[in-house]
Amino acid sequence: MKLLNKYILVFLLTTLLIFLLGGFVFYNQLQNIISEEANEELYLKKEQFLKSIEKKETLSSVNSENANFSIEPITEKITETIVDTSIYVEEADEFIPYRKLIFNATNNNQFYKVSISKSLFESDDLIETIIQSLLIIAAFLIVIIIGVNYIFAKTIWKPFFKTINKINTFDINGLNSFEKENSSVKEFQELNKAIENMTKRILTDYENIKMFSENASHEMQTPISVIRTSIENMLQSENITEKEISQLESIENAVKKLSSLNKSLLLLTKIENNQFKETKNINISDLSKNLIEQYAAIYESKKISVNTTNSDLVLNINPHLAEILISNIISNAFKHTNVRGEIKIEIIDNQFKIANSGAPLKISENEIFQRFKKNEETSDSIGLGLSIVNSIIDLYNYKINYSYTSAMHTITVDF
Amino acid sequence: MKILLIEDEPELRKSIKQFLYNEGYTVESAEDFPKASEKVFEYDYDCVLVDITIPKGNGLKIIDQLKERKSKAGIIIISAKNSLDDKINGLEIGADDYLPKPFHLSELNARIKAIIRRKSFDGNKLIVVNEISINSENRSVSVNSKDVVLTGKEYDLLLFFISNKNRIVSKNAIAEHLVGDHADQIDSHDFIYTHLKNLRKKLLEKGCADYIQTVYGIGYKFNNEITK
Repeated sequence: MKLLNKYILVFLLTTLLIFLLGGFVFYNQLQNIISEEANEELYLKKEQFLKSIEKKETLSSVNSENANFSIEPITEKITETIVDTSIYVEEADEFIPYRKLIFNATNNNQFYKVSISKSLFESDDLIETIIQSLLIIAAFLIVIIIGVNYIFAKTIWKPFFKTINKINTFDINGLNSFEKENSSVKEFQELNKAIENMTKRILTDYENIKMFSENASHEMQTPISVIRTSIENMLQSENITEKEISQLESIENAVKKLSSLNKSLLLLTKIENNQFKETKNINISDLSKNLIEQYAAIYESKKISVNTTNSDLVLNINPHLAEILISNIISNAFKHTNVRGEIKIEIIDNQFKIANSGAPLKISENEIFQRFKKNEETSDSIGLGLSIVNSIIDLYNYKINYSYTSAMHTITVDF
Repeated sequence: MKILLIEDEPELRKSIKQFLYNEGYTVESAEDFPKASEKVFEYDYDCVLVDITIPKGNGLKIIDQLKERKSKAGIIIISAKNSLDDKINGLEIGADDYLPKPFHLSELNARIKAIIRRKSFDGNKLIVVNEISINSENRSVSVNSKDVVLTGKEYDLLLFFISNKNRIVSKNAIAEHLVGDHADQIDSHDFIYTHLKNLRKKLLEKGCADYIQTVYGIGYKFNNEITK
């Protein structure tokens, strides 16, 4: 439930309760006051009457139509009482409430029952009117407050929703930092400040992570450089033996793998950290053609025949990643093609398909994209080529598929 | 030829200096920004090798300083970061080449020679080794004044050998020189062997001595002290 509605519900119930209670108390108080006033008046009238008959010799019975006053002789004294009655008044065509004070009076040793009445008509009406007004005010108040709240709520909550929008569109790789919304509401100010601080921390941490992956590479490559250059220098020494050369070769090959591994892991980290944000329109067909030429030249000795059918395919992708993606797939194909084998490349619509002839894989189909999985355990490759391809595929939500049919390894990429 | 090496890692600095001495260059070095700045200010060099991640400053600023002094030195950035941004930036502010670490010394050698050739104003772009004559401007080769037609890769290979003559050059170094980044993805070095075979054949056909020697296991050497 919306906060506003919750607020209003609570407020409504409380207001209603207060009004009810208050109304009840008010009504009671009113009744009491009016009742007391009526009583006072009756007693006053009683005193006045008693005073007035002190001088009189006889009292005549009165039973006035007026109903306000009646007097009759009685034989025994009665207890004084106050009674509330309703009397039908013809002129008003309704029952009118009356209060009657019945008391004793004596005159010349004769007992009289005297009753004085007072109409409560106006008092009743008064109370009714007051209660009605109260209810109307209450209803009015409630409606107005709900209305104002709803109207006001939009304005009041605007900065809050602006903040939410900013949070939703916050991009950790974005160029602008989180800009605080201004608000006169203290709670929103606090909220915005807290979010600003949090995003600052997040951005700093992220920058540190990015820096770390670059610095890690720096740290690793320098000692590798030292090893490599030292080996090269050693190689030039005058009296070097075949055995020593052989050992240097082993070291060099190991260093080459280390360096390659480092570069690849760094690349994977950067891809997964989404550090390749810039995209351009890249013509994949041109890129493929270029790379195929290069690899064909490199693997010339394998005498592989290459067939390509290209239609133009342009993707919005990071140029660096595009080259790595296509390059890894193509080099992988060339690597695993048998001598005098063939490679077929088709680029149609949004699909890139490459098929190469070759012996069946020794690892299972869904393993080839895993890190460090190599077809030949003894191979020189470090086995990260296709998992890098996989990361790039994941990044852009492309799809990649591998199958082996009719002695052809086929990799299909759907962009 | 005077070279300034700006590199903070002491072992690497030693290694490179050693190599450059052996190649016949005069070498000076600086291990941080202030010292590098000083050297650049006081002396002229034919080539400056800059590691941009040096302490107490940024190597790129050294390049700015060199340009400000209108230095004619060739500038090669050597960097462990291998950041594309750094590369573009560096080349834009005036560096001549960008070589990421780890590199082969033979590769560094080839690049230094290429830059010095480019920068030399004596108009002579001819490289002559005994009977072989290479015109680096139009990439043509002749043996005993007879033209030799080489493919791009064969030419690169020959030039690489000659730049590193009398040094043992490893197969890895050759592979990286010929195919750059793709070297990581290539399994065997059969392709080097093929190009080499073809190169040798073409040179020998024109009456060239067989300078390229195989060094068991690890690589090759262009030995120009062979007599026919």
